[in-house]
Amino acid sequence: MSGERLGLAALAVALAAVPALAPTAYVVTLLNVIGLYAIVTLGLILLGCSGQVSLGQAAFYGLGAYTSALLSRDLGWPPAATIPLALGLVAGTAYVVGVPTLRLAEHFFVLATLGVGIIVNVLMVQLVPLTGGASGLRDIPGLALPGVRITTDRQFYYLIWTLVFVTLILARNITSHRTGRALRAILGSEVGAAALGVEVSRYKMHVFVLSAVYAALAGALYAHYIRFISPSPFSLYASLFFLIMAVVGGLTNIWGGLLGAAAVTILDQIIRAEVPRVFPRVGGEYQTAIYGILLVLIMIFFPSGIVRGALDLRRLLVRSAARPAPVPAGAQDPPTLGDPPPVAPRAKPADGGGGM
Amino acid sequence: MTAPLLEVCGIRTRRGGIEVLHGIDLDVRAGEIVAVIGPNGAGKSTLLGTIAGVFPPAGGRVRLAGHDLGRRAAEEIVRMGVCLVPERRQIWSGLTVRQNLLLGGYHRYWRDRAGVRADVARPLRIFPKLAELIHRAGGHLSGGEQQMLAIARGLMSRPRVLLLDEPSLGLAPRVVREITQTLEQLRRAEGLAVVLVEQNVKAAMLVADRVCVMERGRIVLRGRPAELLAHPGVRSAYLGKGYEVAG
Repeated sequence: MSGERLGLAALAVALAAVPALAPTAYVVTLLNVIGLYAIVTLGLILLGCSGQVSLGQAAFYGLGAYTSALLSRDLGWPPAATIPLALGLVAGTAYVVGVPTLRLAEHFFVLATLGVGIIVNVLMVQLVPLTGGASGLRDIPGLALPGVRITTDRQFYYLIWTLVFVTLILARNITSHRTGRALRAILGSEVGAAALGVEVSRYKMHVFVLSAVYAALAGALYAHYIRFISPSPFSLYASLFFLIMAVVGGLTNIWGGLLGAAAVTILDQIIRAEVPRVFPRVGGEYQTAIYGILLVLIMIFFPSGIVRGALDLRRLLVRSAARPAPVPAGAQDPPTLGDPPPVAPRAKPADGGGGM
Repeated sequence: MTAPLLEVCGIRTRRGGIEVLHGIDLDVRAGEIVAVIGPNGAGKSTLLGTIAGVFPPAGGRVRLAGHDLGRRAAEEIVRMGVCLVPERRQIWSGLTVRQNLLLGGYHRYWRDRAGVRADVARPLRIFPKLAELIHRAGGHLSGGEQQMLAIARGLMSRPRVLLLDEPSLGLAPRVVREITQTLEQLRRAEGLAVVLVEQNVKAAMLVADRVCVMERGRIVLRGRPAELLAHPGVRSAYLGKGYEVAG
């Protein structure tokens, strides 16, 4: 079994044991939230693997939530049907959004997704008869799958984390085979990839739609889990929050999706709990500032994300441990007449001539 | 005289709303090397990109062995036998030499996975140095090795026409000579047609059968290398006044 599979199996066992070992129900709730964010972040990381960054992921997250909530609440359809319908609708929406925006160069694409996020959030607030406006939608039905009703935190925990694993393995398979090579080629150079016959626009569209579907899945689960939705969890701030998770985890590292979501969510919770305790007079703005400082520090010391950073750190430690201890001056035996003459180190070849 | 393998007729290309190519005509026969020289911004790379389908043409026609390439997508044009080796090599630095080569056969990997894997041996025979570096990351190769890898990767697509964009950029003269010798072998042994865009005019003149001079999106002069070397404008603009023709 490869190291990665072993890690995946160990993580699955550990996560399966958490509800039984968790000291409080809060831990299970927190892990549920992390699981939902991890699914969205995994979608963003898939997008990052093709060299794209989105600031509109909360829009798809919200569309998934509102679609499934409205269909199940107002039409009485079962969530087992409304969730796939929500995913289909979001996939179609992402395709329509992707046709004009994916042609744009990197930063213009980011701005376009930002615009989409703002438009969708404004619609959630303004379409009061449909969405309930700023007050949101209440009394969303709980999740009932064929043969089982999922109502408690623990039941949601197992469902959410099963789906995290499914989306993780799907993302891993996509990025580690032929498609993954194509995505890496696109990430390296779109012109270079196109020149080799990689269908750049098709792959970018597929990944964009898939990342939107990931967000919609998390959104639909969120709606049936919390059973109340309003526009605020799907605002621009949420899109930024997801992007931060992806960047902290490592924008092109699938495992980074999981760890980035966990690290940022836990960090957020710690700051919210600890800052008022340590500095009782400090307002909420300072909490955000401390959060910002910590993120800047992470970006300075782990610019490729915490997963890559941890691997680099481990490699550095292994290398320094393997290096032989320096020989003290004078401890070396003096050369004798029988020793071969010392060899001068070879000069580095000039650029372009190396190894030719 | 044989019929042209690649025909470019009156190609016009716009980039960023500005017309960069104003009606380019060019033809290349099998086993022929045609060099395109000219100053920066002349539109040489855009011409190669247009032939390869990376930039859609606004007008004109590109034909390969009589088949219209029209506004086909780049991947389809690669499948038909035209491969672009882009400027600055565009090696995937995180992938090994072997993975870079496999990406070269990307368009037929689904249909012929074993064939693509077996094909890796072919460019390694042409560039034996790469065989020694097969598991090394592309980013850890020298400039010359990267250029060899870029050409080898292009050959993985089994092209009939190779479009080479500034292969000598930043390389030592010895490495440039080695690469041009390889091009010579390829065109003789396999009848490969090459369109070579070069700033290194001396290197281009030595290897090309015909040379086109591009300025501001137009071909302003064309002929055999000896004819252009005798042209006072070409000599003063690209070779320097004291340049003497070797051999």
